[in-house]
Amino acid sequence: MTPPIYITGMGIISALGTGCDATLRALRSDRSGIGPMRHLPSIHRHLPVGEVALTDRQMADALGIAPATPFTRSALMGLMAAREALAGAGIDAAAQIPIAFVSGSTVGGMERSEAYYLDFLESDRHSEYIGLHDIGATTTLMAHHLPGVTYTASVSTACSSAANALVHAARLIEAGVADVVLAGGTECLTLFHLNGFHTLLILDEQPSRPFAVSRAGLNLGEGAAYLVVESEASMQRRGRQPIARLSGCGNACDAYHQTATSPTGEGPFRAMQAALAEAGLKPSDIDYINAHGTGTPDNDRAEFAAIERLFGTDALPPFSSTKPFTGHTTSASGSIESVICLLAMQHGFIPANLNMDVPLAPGCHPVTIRREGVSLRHVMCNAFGFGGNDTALVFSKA
Amino acid sequence: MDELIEELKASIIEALNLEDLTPADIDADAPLFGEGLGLDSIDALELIVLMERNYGIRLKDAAAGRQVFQSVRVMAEYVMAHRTK
Amino acid sequence: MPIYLCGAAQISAQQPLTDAWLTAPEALPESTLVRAIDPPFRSLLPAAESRRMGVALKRMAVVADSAMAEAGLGETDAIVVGTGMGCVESTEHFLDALCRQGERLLGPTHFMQSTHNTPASLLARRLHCHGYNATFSHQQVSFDQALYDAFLLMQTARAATVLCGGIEEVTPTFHILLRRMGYVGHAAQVACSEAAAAFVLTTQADKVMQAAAPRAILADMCMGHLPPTGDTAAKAPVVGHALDAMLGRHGLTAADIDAVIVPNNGYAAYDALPGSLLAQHLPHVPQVAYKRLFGECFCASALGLYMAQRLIERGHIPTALVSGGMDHNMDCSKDHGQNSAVAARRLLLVNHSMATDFSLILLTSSSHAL
Repeated sequence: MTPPIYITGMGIISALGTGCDATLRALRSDRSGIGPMRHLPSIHRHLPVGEVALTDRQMADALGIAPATPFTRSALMGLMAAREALAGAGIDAAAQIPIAFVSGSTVGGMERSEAYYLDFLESDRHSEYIGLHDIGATTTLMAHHLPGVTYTASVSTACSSAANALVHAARLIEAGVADVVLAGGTECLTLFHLNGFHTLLILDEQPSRPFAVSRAGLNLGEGAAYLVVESEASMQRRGRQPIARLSGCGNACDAYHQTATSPTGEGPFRAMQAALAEAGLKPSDIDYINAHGTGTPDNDRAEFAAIERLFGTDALPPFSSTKPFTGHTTSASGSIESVICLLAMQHGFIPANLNMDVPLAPGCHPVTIRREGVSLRHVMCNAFGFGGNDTALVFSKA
Repeated sequence: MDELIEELKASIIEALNLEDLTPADIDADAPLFGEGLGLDSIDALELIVLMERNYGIRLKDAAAGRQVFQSVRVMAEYVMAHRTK
Repeated sequence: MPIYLCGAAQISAQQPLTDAWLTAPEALPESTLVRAIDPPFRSLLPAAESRRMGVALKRMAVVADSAMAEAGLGETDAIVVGTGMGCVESTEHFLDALCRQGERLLGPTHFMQSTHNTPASLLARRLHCHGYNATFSHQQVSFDQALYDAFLLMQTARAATVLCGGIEEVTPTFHILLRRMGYVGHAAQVACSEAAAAFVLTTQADKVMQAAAPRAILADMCMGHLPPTGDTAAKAPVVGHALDAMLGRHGLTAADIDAVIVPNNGYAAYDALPGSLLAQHLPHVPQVAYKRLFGECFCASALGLYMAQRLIERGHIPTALVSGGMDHNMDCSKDHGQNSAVAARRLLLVNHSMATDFSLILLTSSSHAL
């Protein structure tokens, strides 16, 4: 039996707003953050997205970063969420607590690179952004604006990146090499990603409809979320109360196709199974699944097949995809939806799977009308990525 | 028509990186997907781009692509009828 | 539970899939970018399978096959890969098209491969491995982070065997960017190059100890982040503290380390941190600077590990490889015979990324296990 791992702080920014309170208000008023593009300079204006409302400048101001400092949008959003998480856990610079910082991302500083790429090649204009392009640079930039970071790691497993950052965090604590880990992910919208997903013809021109027979793709979103993951000894030493336990992590590879999910959802099935096993739980112990539920024909069919196989057709726990609220925040989705799970657990509600019409299969009935007044003891959060990289996390009431 | 078929074969080989094939290896009437050349869904997406780039033909989705990409000959017939450049 | 390194392979600026670099190393050409020497992929990978693979993926697939074959364990429980930039050629292709022709007529293939976990997922598909699969991407410690994740996975008994890879592709265009950011191209600095390496690590002692030659054991590993401010002199003690702690855990002192595998690349600003660390903590220990053979790139440290593993399997270090840090009584440049070569029983690998993140790896020989 491994010692318990606790969540003692969390922070979030997404199309639903800045911070846990704004997120909670949006979820409990069924208010989606999906809308027309405001910041992204794309020609594909007809595609709805889940943008963070704040501009880079507004975030830099809020963070006390001088306007001329070279920064990336992912790092700014990441810092907004990371600082909220640390504050919630009662950690500030004065606390002098060594922090391991594990961050997931895929685009890194791509939004600057795609704006300045030709300058990078032809002149020294904007060359201060070349070094901010790669994924590690975003992590490092954030680490330099956070107190007490003594370890960093950058996970890049496509749309499961943030979830896998939490898996790595759990291993650091379990192995006894870290006591406090700030883990999650950040991802801003870029033309690179929007057009990349567009070439795969998996972007819906309407608000996405996860698990519906009419689903026609996803809406991209952006945002960041970080969780403070802490050992029991450290939490007790600091006299903090836990938000929840991170009771199980499971990662598996579908090993089927670079972008498509196997029809049977082998990877998702194995990931959820492994997370349950690590948590020492039976399928019937799970009170809610926050599904990956992107709204693409492939993902939702495979994910539902895997859920049915693991939990049994007659014993499906309540499940919903919250991507119609936030959009698919890709690399950040694992931590953004983890925070949503923890808010649901704290406040006893199940967020609605918006935009549902006819279910994609008989028996596929996500929670379409928000449930209030429920007690969630164990919740599962799914995040699946390109390359068949599938992760499930289980959070339990402490 | 024959000229267009040869042109399509060459551009398919290039776009899909079928480096071991020559145009002569592709039967204009053989299925491109599944049994025939063994192409997959990603190849279909690349062919959709090829149709737009070379012939100004915009296929809306993968289902529309599947109709057109039955064989090189079907593609050629579709191009003849719908090309805008 | 010792972690054995029981299979490895490399593609780099040296002859691929061999250890010719040990006996007949290629002199790096006088160029600031030296591409890797590729093996004949057409005879190593089925054409139908490889037609959509960029060169980075081909290299990853081939070194993994070779490492798995050497290990002879049949399968792996998990796959962890480190890469600073992923499949650069594909990323560049998509980005270039996006920037020059706009948001029209873009194809999916290059975009799909731009995702950094493409190499790790390719390996999973080829090996039918449904187990844990992760990719780490953090500049010059990308591979170290992947190895550390594998190390933690095995320490916590989540996996008995892990395939760990490092892959870095450097195109001429990316090289221009690396030069502009001041990462390579400095006077006296080694050339920028490429790396592909794969390792099989296992805790299944019964399966690996049948080999006649000693095995390398990943005895310990430690990674850390350094504060942004302060010069090298201020940072070296932080790394030194971690080093002392690691050696202390095993009851070792500097005298027990046969050699240090250093990341030095000839650029004084980069070499200062290991220089300062070793001068303070391991002043008389021989050093091996692997980048003189393999060049510099984000995943060069994978080649450092590759070299260290092979040296431990041989049991000694050819004197031609040994550079600074020698005890003044032990001038290796005059040695020609194996008897006077430096032993390779316990090796320390030091690495850092822009004096911001560091890693320390302790490798021991199974014939001199701790």
